[in-house]
Amino acid sequence: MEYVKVKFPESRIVIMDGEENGNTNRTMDVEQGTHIFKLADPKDYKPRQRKRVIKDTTKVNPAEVIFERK
Amino acid sequence: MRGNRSIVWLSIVLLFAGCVHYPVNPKLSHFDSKAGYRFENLPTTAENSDKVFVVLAFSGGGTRAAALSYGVLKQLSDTTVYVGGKPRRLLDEVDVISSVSGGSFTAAYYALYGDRIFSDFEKRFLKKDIQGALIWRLFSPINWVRMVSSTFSRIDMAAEYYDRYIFDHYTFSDLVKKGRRPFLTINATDMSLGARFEFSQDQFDWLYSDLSGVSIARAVAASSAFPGLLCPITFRNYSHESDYREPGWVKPALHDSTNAPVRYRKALDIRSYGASNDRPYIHLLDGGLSDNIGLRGTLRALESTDGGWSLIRLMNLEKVQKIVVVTVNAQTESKVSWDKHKSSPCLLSVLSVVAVSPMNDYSFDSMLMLKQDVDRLTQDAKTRKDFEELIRKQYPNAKLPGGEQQDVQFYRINVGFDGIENETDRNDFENIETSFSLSSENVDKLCNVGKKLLCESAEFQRLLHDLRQK
Repeated sequence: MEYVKVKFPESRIVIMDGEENGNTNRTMDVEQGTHIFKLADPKDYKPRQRKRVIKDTTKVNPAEVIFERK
Repeated sequence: MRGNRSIVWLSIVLLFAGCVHYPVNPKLSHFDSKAGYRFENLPTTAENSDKVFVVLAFSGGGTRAAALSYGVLKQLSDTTVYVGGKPRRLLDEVDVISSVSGGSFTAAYYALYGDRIFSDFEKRFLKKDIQGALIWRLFSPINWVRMVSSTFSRIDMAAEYYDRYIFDHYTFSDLVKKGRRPFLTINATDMSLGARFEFSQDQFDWLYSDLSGVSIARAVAASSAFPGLLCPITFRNYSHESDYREPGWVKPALHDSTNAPVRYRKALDIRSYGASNDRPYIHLLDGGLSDNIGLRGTLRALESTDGGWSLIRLMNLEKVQKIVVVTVNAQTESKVSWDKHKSSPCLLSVLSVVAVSPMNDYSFDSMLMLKQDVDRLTQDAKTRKDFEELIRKQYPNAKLPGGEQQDVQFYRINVGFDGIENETDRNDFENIETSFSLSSENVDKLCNVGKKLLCESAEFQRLLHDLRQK
């Protein structure tokens, strides 16, 4: 199991690989491998999506995927 | 003259046989990734919340497995717990039933009829000589003619029987209309891929087919089509129309075989259904060949966010507090005597080992993987908690990345004959044959031992302790 935190200035649903999969700024459990991250609407964030290989993380030190407000 | 009459009759018979065809699964009228029999379309209710998420896995093993799992359902029905301070039957908290072969009869019957199972399932299935009834149909001259057809076989005849006498012609559309949990996942094996094939719309999307038009009986028949005794059951795999959308995880998975080999393999399987020119038909065999205890789907749900239902996704969305997995395993240890003889075992003995041993080993691996998954998730949560406590001793205002983590409790409950302490009793159960015809006495014994083994499970007692605090 791997761990990811999607950072965004506010709480928002995280869409991972096309499905709702948690909330921003909270640690999510994910399977090791390549994942595509987006945020739920409104589309006031950038970039539009991030593709990341998630591996070698721990629950104490999750990978960070960062989105900014447009 | 007589010769001409024979030719006419033979022509009529062949014409009739040529018209006989198994029921064909319908093509989707249009693609809708949110419609049909999917976990997400069975919402939580006042009686069944996600807080306590209960998964039941029913193994194969003919009527022996069906009766053992029926006993477990009975005990869950007799068990009152408190969720959110309100009393309810633990049975009403069951969210998913994943089943194989014999266990699929109990699982499907409960998903369709709910509590009615406790009033007529014994009479309609458990204590009925299903095997005898199926063999009897083989003696019908009409069926001889039908089975001349290349598109109708013994398994189709068995499916017809189940449809008429057990599942009352219900289809998956009726389960969609019911709109209530548990979500039923009947498991079969794709003969070409050797992979698990589950009867959900998520899987049927890949065939561009509408599961709503498939009878429950046909799914159960596929799940219990033991090779050799029964032929594979066949489904149509349609070409994808332009509105088809594959699951979002498939594309990234296909580019990452190194980090996520299981995901990669699954993505290849999905793409193979898309090549419908190469595979216009899918042939399914007994689910036991790829997973004889119905656990593999649950393992995937504990390891991945892909697929129609994922426990990890529910945890990430902070919907679950307790995850309970009850495995009802009717597997028996075969008693063999060939090691007592100097002559080498006969071909039949060798074939029985080839057929059964890999299934048993695979089941053992599944149980082990479940333990490892649960241990890992528990350990990771504990490590984070311990680290947080440790760091706060030095820095009281310190915060770890990712915010406060919700504590999820896991309960892994096994119901199987190896839990019977008395050796004589255990041997009695181990010696019950795999058949669709058991004596009433044996059915009653299996139901009772299912109830007893569940009650005696230390994990079940821990769950009750945690859920009986009002």
